Amino acid sequence: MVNSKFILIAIFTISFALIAWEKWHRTIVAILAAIAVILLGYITPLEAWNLIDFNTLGLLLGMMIIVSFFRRTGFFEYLAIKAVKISKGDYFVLFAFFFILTGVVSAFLDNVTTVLIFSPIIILVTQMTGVSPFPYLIGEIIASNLGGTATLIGDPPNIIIGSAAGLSFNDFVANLTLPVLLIMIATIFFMKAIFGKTYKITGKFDLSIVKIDEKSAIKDKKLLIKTFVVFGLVLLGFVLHDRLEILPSVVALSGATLLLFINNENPEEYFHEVEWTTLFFFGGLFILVGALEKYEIIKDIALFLLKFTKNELGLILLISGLSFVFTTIMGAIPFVVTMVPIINTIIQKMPGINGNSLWWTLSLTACFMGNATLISAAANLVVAGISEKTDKKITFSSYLKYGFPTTVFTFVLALAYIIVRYYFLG
Amino acid sequence: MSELLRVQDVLTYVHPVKLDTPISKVAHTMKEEFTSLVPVVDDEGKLLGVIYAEDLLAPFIPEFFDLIEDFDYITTFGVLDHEVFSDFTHKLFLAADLMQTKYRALKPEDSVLKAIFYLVKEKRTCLVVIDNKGYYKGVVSRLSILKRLYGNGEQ
Repeated sequence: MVNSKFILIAIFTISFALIAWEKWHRTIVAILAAIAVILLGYITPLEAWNLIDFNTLGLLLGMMIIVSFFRRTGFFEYLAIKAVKISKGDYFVLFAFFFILTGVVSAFLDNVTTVLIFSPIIILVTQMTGVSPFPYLIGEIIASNLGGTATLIGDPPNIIIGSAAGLSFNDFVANLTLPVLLIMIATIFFMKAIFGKTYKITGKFDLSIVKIDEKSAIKDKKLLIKTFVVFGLVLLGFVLHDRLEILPSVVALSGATLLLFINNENPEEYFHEVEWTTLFFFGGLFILVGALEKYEIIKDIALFLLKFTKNELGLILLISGLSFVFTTIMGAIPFVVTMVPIINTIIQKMPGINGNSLWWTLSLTACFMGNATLISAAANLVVAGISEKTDKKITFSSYLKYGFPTTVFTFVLALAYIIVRYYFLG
Repeated sequence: MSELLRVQDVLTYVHPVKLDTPISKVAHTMKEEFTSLVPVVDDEGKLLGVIYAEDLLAPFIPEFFDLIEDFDYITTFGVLDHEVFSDFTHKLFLAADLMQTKYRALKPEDSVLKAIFYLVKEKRTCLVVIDNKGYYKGVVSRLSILKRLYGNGEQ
């Protein structure tokens, strides 16, 4: 048993170090680790299968398919152009609109999809008006990670937490949506201050030189209506899933299937847009962390953490601290997959504690820390890749200069919210 | 059975340029010789690459345009409309900067059917023709083939 624990901890540590190193794709590392624990006989293939949280994977898969329908409609381009018109030639209004728009869309779609949709349009609009897209793209990264935190379906860590802790869509709305929105508004002004005079996000531009028509952006009106109706039903399903006792994954997959059915096209092109690498990454991590759970390593870590503190405030600060360090290094998903069973064990060991405060701490801090560096979240790297097609590339250091202070700012606000709401107000 | 039509039967000679020929001269050749392909050769006449009309237009397109599917919703590009062209005129491009070194080449003895196949499949208006030793021989174009196949429109 001692030897098994030692080897499993070694596999876990090496895997997470490789994920942080990024020499190999994180999905390959996660699958390799999962296969290793099966080949070494620590878990059977059937146990491995049962360790995969299909509620998380199903929810992600369903939403990815629904998003692929949305992308074909041109609706997001419509929204972006509308934002330009609403700004009435004011750079700061434009910045704020794109920030909020990205955040809101990101609350319902995954962050990578959101930035893939909006970043090219942001570059286009800023170049058309003669300013650098750099601050707007940094804002895009920050907004996507913040906005994704607002709902159960906005960010994979929330999906994992919701599934493991039995928290519903409504629980997330009641606990996270408003604070995230307020933090986003505060962040807009914070970013205005840190970009200062270096980059132009204030002042006016001549809107008349840009001839754009948002209505022409809609490519398929019928598909847009169908997608909206189904998406509305899916949202209704999320709101009612707890009462109807239907898993969120079933709601999302039902919506995706309904869209495929009523659209009646070859589903292959929609399946092409599913991020299979993300799904396999999750699968590998679930198996790896599940093996640690089976050999009570997770329990040992939880008991070790409980040596430092046994009160709720202490645990909130401890989880936040771990989140601050480890999400920055390895990204939010591996950290949250590991922390979920640890927090579950802590809650079991301390029956009097308000477990929800720990879950919200994990959600807010892990998702927000995705903004810390260029490699802390997938969306950050996607925007950096897109920025390579502009005059001012987003590099690790140029991002750190603006992204890290903003992350610390949002992290402190989130922590203040958690402490006041769950510790002082109960 | 009709006689075999070969590439050499529909060949037109476009004056080639050298590596250090300015792009403005390449564009001039295209205009004067009614061609969308200009060959680039060395001092001995060996083919080094080809320049298509698209290669002369592509530098005007900002790199990030690749990321956008279509521009149905845009009529004019604001500052970009002026910036791209004024910036471009300051850049001194030579044939060597824009020529394609990977290209489809035909032999004079190839069947015209082969030329038609590649012109259609690769959506090209012209293809370059070289001999077995790589020396430039001419250009085969859609128009020269059409002219040969359909004549001048006279009955």
